Amino acid sequence: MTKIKPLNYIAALFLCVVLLSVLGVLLGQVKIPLEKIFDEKYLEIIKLRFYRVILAIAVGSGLSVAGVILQSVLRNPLSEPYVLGVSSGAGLGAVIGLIFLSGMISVSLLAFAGGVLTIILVYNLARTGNKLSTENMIISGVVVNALFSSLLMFLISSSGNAKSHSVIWWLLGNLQIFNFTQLVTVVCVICAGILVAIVFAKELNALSLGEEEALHLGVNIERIKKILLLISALITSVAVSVCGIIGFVGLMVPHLTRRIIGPDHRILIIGSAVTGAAFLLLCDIVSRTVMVPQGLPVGVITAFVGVPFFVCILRKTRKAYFQ
Amino acid sequence: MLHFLDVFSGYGKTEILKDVTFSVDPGAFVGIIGPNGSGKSTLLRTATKILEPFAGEVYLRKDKLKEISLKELSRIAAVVPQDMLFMFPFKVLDVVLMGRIPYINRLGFESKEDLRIAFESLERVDAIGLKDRFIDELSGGERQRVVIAKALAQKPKILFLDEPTTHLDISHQVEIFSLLKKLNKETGLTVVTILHDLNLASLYCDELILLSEGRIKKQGTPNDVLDYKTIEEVYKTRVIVKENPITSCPHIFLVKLQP
Repeated sequence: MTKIKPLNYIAALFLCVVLLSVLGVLLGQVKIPLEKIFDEKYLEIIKLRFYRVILAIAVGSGLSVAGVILQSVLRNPLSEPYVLGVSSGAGLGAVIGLIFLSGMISVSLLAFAGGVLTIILVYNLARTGNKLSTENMIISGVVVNALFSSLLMFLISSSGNAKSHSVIWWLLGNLQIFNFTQLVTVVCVICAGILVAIVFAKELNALSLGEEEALHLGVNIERIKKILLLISALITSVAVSVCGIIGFVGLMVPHLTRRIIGPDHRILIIGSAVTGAAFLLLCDIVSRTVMVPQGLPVGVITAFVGVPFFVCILRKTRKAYFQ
Repeated sequence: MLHFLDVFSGYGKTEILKDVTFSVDPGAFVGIIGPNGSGKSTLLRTATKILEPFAGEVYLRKDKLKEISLKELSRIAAVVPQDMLFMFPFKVLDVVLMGRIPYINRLGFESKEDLRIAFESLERVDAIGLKDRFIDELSGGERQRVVIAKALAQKPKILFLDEPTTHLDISHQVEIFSLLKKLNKETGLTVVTILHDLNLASLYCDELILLSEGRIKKQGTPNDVLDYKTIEEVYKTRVIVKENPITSCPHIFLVKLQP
């Protein structure tokens, strides 16, 4: 199926991330020539673009790892933060903040609370007794997602014109960030989340054989599922809280990476993280360089760039994936 | 090796196993038989700590099962399900290496020793040639051999199987059970397997436990358990039991129902 060595792939993608980061700083509405990178007059622009590049790396890798976790824990190829309602929960929180309160801090906190509360709600809806069935989890996720999406629509349509425009723009995904503290918070939470996922990589492998099989391998599945679901919710809501709902990354990147380097989570998590980072960096550069000057929301680009790419990989590795 | 003492067990509030007591000696090859819904899988799940008994006590070796941690248990007992569903296309060797999960520490990749044990397990099931293939490309018989290799990589003292040959044709049924018998004889591995096919049970098992409506109806050698009266009573169908001319094990013949 694949001849690419996982470590070579990760190294290559890491290089891509570095190159795209440089491009991400240089390109945009104002193009900065490479030799003038230390020029005083560009300092502010470079600083903001640098924040943006870091955010794209963090969010791209975070959403991808959240997708990897959910697909394995819930044993469902369609699982991603959006399907489980976590994204809309966080989005709902953020929109409530945008409409009724002001200030990015309250928006972030509400988004964060929205995402985490959603996973707790979905989890408890799906739980019977002490056991959690993954089918129930997906169904409650879809239901909660539908409810929150219509609440979002309701809030948007009942708020004033000016406000609804900014809310919609925000919801479509935007990697603009001005606040350094916020950036550091996002990066720290996502890094911590990815590290925890790596620590549980072995258990994720066992879980992909089935829940009873994981138990037979000595894995305490109920506890690990709780931890990992919470981690993926944390990553997602912290991402949504700063840049709105960026779809497709969490779904596509894990599938793509798995097809190239295989399903072993000990390398898949790192592989997905670098792939997601490179992918979102690329999308962000595209979003800033087409349709100058207003730019496009990055959430619009992810599917545009991602789908052809994904179809390509899908056709090259045509194979029954999920039996 | 395994000892059930007055065990009641089931799902949620539904009691399925009722007052089950039996012992499995080390090195035995035991078949669990009985009609659908008689509690065979419940028994296996109770023995492997998936289900907790409502009452009674399960002992594994000298210890109470409830006092053995999942991790310890996974080094003593391995389970081969009817059909393991692979969500992702792992390579055969990766699947077998997953049997080493109970032994490798957090963050750790497998050591040379783990790899050696994985190869050895693949050799034992005569599947070393499959090691670089993808699990979803294999036939049913090959896949079941790989799953057994994964179980062997856990270095278990006791192997539980849940109808391991249900989806296989007769030649593969015989192949898998001959393999299990060989492992049992050569390494002293205790084997406890659920079986639907009474003739396979008769051919390969030293001892049978016949379940009926959650209770043990009869246990003993195939000759003791497989008499036509018992079978007819438990399975509620007509059968004829004759001696297999080659192995002299009891052989069950089905009788067509009159329309």
